[in-house]
Amino acid sequence: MTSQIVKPSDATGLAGLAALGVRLRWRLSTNRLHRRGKRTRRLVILAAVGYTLANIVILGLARQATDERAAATVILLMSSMALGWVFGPVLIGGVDETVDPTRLALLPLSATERYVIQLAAAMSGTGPIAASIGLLIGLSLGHIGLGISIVVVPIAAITAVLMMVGSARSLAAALAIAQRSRVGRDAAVLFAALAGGTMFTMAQLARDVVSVGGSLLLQVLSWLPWAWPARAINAARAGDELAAVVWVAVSIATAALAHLLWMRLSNHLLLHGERSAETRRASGRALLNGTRTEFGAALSRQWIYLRRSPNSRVGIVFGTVFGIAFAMVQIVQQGGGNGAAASFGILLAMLANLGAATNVLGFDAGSLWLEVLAGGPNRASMIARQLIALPNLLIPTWVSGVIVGVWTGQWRFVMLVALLAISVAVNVLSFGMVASVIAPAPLPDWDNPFGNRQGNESRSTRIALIAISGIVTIVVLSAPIFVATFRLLGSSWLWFMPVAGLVYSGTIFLLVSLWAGWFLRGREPLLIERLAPRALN
Amino acid sequence: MNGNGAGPGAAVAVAGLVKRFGEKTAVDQLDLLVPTGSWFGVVGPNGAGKTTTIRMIVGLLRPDEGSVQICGRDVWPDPTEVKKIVGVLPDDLRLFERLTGEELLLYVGLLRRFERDEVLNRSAELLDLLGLRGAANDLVADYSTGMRKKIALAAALVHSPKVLLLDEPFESVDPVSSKIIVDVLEHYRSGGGTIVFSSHVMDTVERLCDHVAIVSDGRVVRTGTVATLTDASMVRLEDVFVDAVGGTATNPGDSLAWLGVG
Repeated sequence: MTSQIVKPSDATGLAGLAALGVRLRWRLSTNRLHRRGKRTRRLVILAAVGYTLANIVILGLARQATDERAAATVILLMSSMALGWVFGPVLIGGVDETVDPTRLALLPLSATERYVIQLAAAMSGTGPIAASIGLLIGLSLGHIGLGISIVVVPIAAITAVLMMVGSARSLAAALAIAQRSRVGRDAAVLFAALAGGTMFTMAQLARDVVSVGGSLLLQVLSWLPWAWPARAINAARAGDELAAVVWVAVSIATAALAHLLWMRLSNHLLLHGERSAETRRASGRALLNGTRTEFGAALSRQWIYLRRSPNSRVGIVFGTVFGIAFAMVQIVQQGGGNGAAASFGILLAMLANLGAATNVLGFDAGSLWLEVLAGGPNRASMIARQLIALPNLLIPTWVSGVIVGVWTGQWRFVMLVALLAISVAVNVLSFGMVASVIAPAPLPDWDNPFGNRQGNESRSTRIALIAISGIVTIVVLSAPIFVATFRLLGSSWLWFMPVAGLVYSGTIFLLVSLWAGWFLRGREPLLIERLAPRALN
Repeated sequence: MNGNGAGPGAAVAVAGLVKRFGEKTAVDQLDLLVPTGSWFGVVGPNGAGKTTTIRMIVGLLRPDEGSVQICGRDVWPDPTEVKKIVGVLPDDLRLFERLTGEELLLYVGLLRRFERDEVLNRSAELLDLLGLRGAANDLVADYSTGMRKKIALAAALVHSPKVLLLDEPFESVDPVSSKIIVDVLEHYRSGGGTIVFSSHVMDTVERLCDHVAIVSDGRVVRTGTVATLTDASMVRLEDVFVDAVGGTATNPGDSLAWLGVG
């Protein structure tokens, strides 16, 4: 503080700032990887090298393929890469710190300078470097021949990467701005969920798309901006010089527009603050009905959470879209649509939402100490916490049922399965209760719907184990219901099964809740420690 | 945004500042004059508009109306230039969590275009003074609330600003850390710096500040030197504050009859 004579050097130009952005990005990345341990570091490096090589091989092999096949491959690969790049960060949450403009808000940087730092940082991550190298080498090997392709292919490859970065950051900034109102937040979540559902469906059906070169989906993709550089490459390969030049020019202009939009939106985000979100004032009285009993109070509180908490709202929107997409993809891939079997496929929508029921204690656990002081968490509160996950399980299942019903006309079966789904859902809750008390993980109820909804890092093993054991347990628990249902097909007793199933699964649920109440007793301090917000770091 | 109201010698001059969020007016025709070299407290009840005002002063939130000048330079429409001469400790500390404390100061200095060696020297001094030397190589994500405040303060000081704006700097900070922060700030001020800080802890404001503005409902309802407002310490600043914002200490009477151990 004594050296006030030293003045900052204005000579640091944009190139210097870009270099600083790269160094900052690498420092953050290496610190993060170092923290995660040697195994994760190796996995990241392996994944990056593998991804680069895969792109090189897939694109490079185009040299041996027919023009039609090669063109389809480039369009599909670029489109899927763009979708992952643009929508992926939105879906998995946790934006890289260097591309978050608010971290640079206090520094004397002009909009252009900030943009340069962020662009350099965005381009120098492991993923972007792997994708850029893969595209450049793969496309050069597979598509550069004689003539204009020597120029067009490298330019188109670089433009594609720039377009992906620009649109990804513009989308992230636009969503951040949208989140300032509750309606905007929900709309942004729905948009992201639909985009994610499309990505998921595309990834699942990619094999079918590639095998049908001229499919409708491929034609649609080729008209999306991220495929325009691919069209330039394909035109150059086919010797259509004019088309190649036009598509390259259009791609460059689009990429430039995306970057301009990114710059503008980031600036808007910084200068208009984050505190303008108007929230509706809640009329609490109606929500607090039924609080005379311990269970009523617990259920009422969970109901309030379901309505008001950003995470709950996001969970239902995402769960519904992904649950439907998951179920429908499986039904389509099994050639469903023409039988009763498709009706049973709607239950898969529920399995895609397993996570809603398996960590109910970890959700917003920061306030758990209040519950502990009040004598909980106990059986009543655990039942309430689990029951409130029912909409996450049943809404996507029933909507899938309506789709299957319209598609196949098998309304009788759809109705039967939709009713049996209640019993299966209760079995999911039983498993969820066991998982929630044995292996809870802190999950903050962040205001940012695009925050990390898993609420943890490096806990993927836990999530995978719970998912696998959950699926097995639920299938085993639900098997008697379906065995009995299949035996009664054609019998007048068939429609008795939903009631019998519910009695069966309800009994299991109540027994499990007794166990959970007993298990939790005396473990409250440990629970608070395990679920403290600091455990997130 | 014409800079009206800028007094000569004013480190910060705010005139007619307005900010609306939908139907709510958070800051309503607010005027403020902070003399150079002063330690200026902005106090007010929760929701009075203190944070919103500070965000507009430092160029983080665009005002709907009014002007802000820092050391004679207009903050709006382009706050870039002013950010070179102000240091800010915001209420929501958005730091690079995956940098160590030392790295954070280094990158903040480099992004402010200081030479690497100079930044390292200043960082070392700040880390020592703020008692963060032992945690210099820990990630900011692992810092406690007090440590985060201190490293953010170091980041706000590393470029030796002319004006320092601090939003609730002592909130959630233990007494030892508070003392360290105060010592550093006094050292900064003795070198000619101006400090503006918001708080609702009257004792701290009365003890540290020489000037105070009491903000309520987005307006300045009282302002002046602490000595004037407290009638040369004849009245407590807390009483002046309660009187100015129109608050009353309600006697619970029978309404809390159930509260007790009997």
